[in-house]
Amino acid sequence: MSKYLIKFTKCSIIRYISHLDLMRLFHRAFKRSRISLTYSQGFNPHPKMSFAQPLSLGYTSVGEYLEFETLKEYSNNEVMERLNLVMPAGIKVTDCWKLKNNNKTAAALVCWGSYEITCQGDFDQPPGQAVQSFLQQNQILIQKPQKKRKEMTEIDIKPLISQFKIIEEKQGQVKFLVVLRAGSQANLNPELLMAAFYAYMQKIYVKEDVSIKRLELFDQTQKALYEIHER
Amino acid sequence: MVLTEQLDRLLSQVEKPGRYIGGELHSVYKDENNIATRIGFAFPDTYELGMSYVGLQILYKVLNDLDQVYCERLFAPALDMEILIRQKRLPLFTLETKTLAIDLDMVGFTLQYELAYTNIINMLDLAGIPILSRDRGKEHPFIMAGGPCVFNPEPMADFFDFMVIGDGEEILPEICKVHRQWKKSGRDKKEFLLTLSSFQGIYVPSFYQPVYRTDGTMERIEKIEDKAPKKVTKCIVSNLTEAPFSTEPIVPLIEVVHDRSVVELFRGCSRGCRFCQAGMIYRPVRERSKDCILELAKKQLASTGHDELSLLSLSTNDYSQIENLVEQLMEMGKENNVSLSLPSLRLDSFSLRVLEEIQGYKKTGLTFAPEAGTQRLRDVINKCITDEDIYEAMKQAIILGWPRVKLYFMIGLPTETYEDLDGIGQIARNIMDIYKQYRYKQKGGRFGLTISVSNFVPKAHTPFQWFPQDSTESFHAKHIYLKKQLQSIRGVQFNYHNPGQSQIEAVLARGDRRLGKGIIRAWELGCKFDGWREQFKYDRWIQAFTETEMNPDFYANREIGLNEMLPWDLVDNGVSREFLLSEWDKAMKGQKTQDCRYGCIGCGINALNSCERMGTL
Repeated sequence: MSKYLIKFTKCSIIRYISHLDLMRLFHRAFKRSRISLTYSQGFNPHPKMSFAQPLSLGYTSVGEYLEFETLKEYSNNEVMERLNLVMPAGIKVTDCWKLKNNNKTAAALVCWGSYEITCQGDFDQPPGQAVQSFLQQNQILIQKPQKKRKEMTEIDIKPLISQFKIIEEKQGQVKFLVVLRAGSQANLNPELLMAAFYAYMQKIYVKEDVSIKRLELFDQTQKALYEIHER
Repeated sequence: MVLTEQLDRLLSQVEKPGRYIGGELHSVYKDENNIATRIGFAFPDTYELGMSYVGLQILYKVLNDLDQVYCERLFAPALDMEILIRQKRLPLFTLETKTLAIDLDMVGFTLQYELAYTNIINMLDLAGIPILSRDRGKEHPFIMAGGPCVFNPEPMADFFDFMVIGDGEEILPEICKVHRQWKKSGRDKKEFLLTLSSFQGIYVPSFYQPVYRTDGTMERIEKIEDKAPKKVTKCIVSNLTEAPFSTEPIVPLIEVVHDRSVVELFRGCSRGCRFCQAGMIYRPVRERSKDCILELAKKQLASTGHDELSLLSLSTNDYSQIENLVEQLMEMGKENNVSLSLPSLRLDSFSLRVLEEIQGYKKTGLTFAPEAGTQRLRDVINKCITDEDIYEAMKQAIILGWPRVKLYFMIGLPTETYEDLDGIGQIARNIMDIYKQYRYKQKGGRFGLTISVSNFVPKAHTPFQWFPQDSTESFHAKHIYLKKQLQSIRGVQFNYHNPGQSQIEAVLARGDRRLGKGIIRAWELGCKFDGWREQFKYDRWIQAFTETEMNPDFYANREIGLNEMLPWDLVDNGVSREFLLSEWDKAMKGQKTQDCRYGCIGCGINALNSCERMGTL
């Protein structure tokens, strides 16, 4: 039995499939690649495979991670090659690590995520200044729907933002880089941040004008997941 | 994989955008410059339904295996997407290259179900293609149809340039060849249709003109074009083992209705249930060899990575080597964590044993179709199941711990009385008694029975094609009657189909060419996705019929005279009129007809194609 962590990209139109669809996609890809995964025991065995952090439908990413357990041992390169041979367009495995047994799972490690956000359209006021003053607020309150109950609750997202800056500004388009809490403890969806920022600027948030790309996932100390594992 | 910027903006606003993106594993992308014939395979329902249809996978392969042909897919956009693409005036496009449907050479619709007819009109409209064949010019694609519903081609005749009746695998490459030559010749569209009309299985509606009597019945079908055949005989693929079948089916990126590998065991059915259209129009029975099935299953599983394999046929148990095949497939599945799924099973001891092995602890539900509540009525419809069969199967199922059993019945069948409805109640009570008797032996805990009742719809080319459908009022009354009986039994659930939907289905199933304007009107009034219960608008359909002076009762609820000419008489499906008449006669006398594996019953199909199954049992 061997454990691996792979890093992969989810690009172009395949961003329009959901997290569940992606799970099924990998499940089938492993079967096609003839890399045999170990299965859980019990009445309803399922392959041992888990993603570090789900990606919202519609986002692209160059920093997705998946862990899995195989029956046989393969070299890191072999895992990558075999998987890439059978992947549909848009998914590409870019790195692979063999894990030691005592590693914490990737899902448990994830604490932060970085995103590149591209907004189409012009801003009335210089967005750079707006970002500054937006972040200088004591609290950044947003309405968030409750998972179980349907009512909205107000939360302060300021502690969930580590970085929020402009990396490119040109006619009709602004690119932001943000680092936000991610994972099971606390999580901030970049769309919620952008909606709050647009509201702050008194601008209407149009979903189709904003595209989001995840760049990387980090642990508590903001060390990227790929830096954590030795080759 | 292509995505226009315009489409990209829409995708972030719709539900399940994965329906519209293409780019799935094994979808085909070709150099568009070397193509003579560009085809759109159009499925008039959503992506999830269409991608679960095996016929699409077969024909997609057949066409794309041809050098100068490129076949792409078209589906009905869901309602939320339709609103957006109409707003943005974005015409219907193919999934693969996002080419506009109107720019293709041919668009072929599959007619799987009558209640999808308005979706076809809607898709043509979304594509910007004139709905009526006669309004289309040389700049428009040829619009063709296939599938089981074209066995009565008339209600949809005005919309199609030609229709392919029967198995498509062998004729489609011929059609492409003719198209290529015709395109080179630069001649007008009629020339192409003239050449095609000489082929077995091709029906060109515009070459015929039906003539009606004053009482509304048909007098004759006049040929307008001399060269057109008097009758159109269906295409038959004689050898299924040698017939093309996909080893690399498209693997959808999103979850569809059936996410699994599928291999077709055989086509046709030897049982001869008298209400069943599939059992008549797909004759003769043609089996695929066991080795071929195993090979196809193995290749499909390897190329797709599916974890489920299903076998396709009208009656799985009737495959001649079923036990051996299933054993080998289960062996194969165990090695690769692939589960086997067997639809259309007869519940005999073999099936239950296999199901026990396949499902083990994961037992969900078992379905079974006695179709009628009494032995007398089952004899009338030639459904050869006895009460004993039902109760023995139920006893076994209960002991094996199946938590839920669903039984299918049909009401409104010829000669049905309320005694037959009582029979349905009686069966439900008896099964619950069996449960009480055997529950101490049961492995699981609970047991629930679902009685699902559908409304009989008379279909073309069956022995019951002349029989009137019950009125919607009568169906309602019967539903209430059954509900009363069944709701008093603990553990029994009852559900039934919408009688309005069944009536419209019957109108379209037995309709003639005049109905075309009624269908257009219904679509104009907002009817689409009529097969979806929550979308179906009965009042609009009735309004459409009233406005176009059509009487739905004339088509659905009238007893058709045995000597009357039928709209579908120009389709020869190989089963003789004499056979259908004698089956009707026997039905009225309550006489059964044997499964033709025990000996030929003279249906007439062997005049068209050799029938290998007769007398094999």
